[in-house]
Amino acid sequence: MDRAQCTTQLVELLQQAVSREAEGGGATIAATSDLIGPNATISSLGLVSFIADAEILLEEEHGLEVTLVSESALSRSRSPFQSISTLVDYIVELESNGGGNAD
Amino acid sequence: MPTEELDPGDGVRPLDVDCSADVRAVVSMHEAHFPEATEVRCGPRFMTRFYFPFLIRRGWMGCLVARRDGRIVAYLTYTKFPRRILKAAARARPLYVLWNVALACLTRFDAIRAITKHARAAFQPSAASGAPTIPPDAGEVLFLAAMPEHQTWTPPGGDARVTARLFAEAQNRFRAEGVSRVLLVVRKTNTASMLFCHSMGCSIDKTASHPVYHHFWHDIPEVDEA
Repeated sequence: MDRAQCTTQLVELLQQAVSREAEGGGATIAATSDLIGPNATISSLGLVSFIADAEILLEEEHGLEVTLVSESALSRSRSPFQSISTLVDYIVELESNGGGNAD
Repeated sequence: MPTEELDPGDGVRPLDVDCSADVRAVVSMHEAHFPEATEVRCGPRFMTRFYFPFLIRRGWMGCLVARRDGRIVAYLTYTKFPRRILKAAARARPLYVLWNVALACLTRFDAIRAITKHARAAFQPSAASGAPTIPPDAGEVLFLAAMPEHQTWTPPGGDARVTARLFAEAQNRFRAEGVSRVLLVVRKTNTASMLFCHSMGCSIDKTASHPVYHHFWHDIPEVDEA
């Protein structure tokens, strides 16, 4: 999987989700924009929908069938959902483990 | 629980249990978002006349509401008696609690099953039920819900969205009450709530082994983050 390409695709996907949520407005998204926490660019429900879309994108565009939200992902000291960058790191890790969860 | 002057304007405040319209608004949201909850299955009378007013007035439960354009659009309930709020109330006011439970059971068959299940869980040891051991200085966020169309709203007086703001306000109240850890019980199928807990800095209790629920813990920071 091309890391840079995946990052660009996810940034675009998140930008669409944020625009949808803000009804056409919303912040400009970067790979470092917060996905969670007090400064999150998207609501938790919006994040769920973004993650579901990301899983579809990964399968369709990169042939990678993964479940991004899992107990192991939520238990990590460094959250994979902090930003697009950390999410891509996590996806790369899942890919190197042959998909599924990086337990 | 702390008491303060109530202001009907927009923002986050404690529920005024003397305002029946507000109690009914919270009960309506509670029914819509948590149809499986024990108190919901006991019926609206149980909630409007007993569950919310009684538990809040006696200090066993707190309820924060977020009001937008005069309407309650989100709420959060919390307690200093995690996993045993009704048990604590029943011990302190057994006749009154029994009377209200009996009324609910007489009028709604579903209430009997809900109360039986609740009582069994409340009196079962944590290890046997798959629930975590509760430390003495723990509290619990019981329920948190926001109307879907208001979830991205940022209430005045802060930068956080409504659900994060309610959580931060509850955290402040817990801190004032000497609570240092907060339990959140989330269905394993509820991805949105799991991500919300995760985004608030909660961690999964890996010692708990409940088949249906994840138990998240949140450590209360020493300083006010609201």
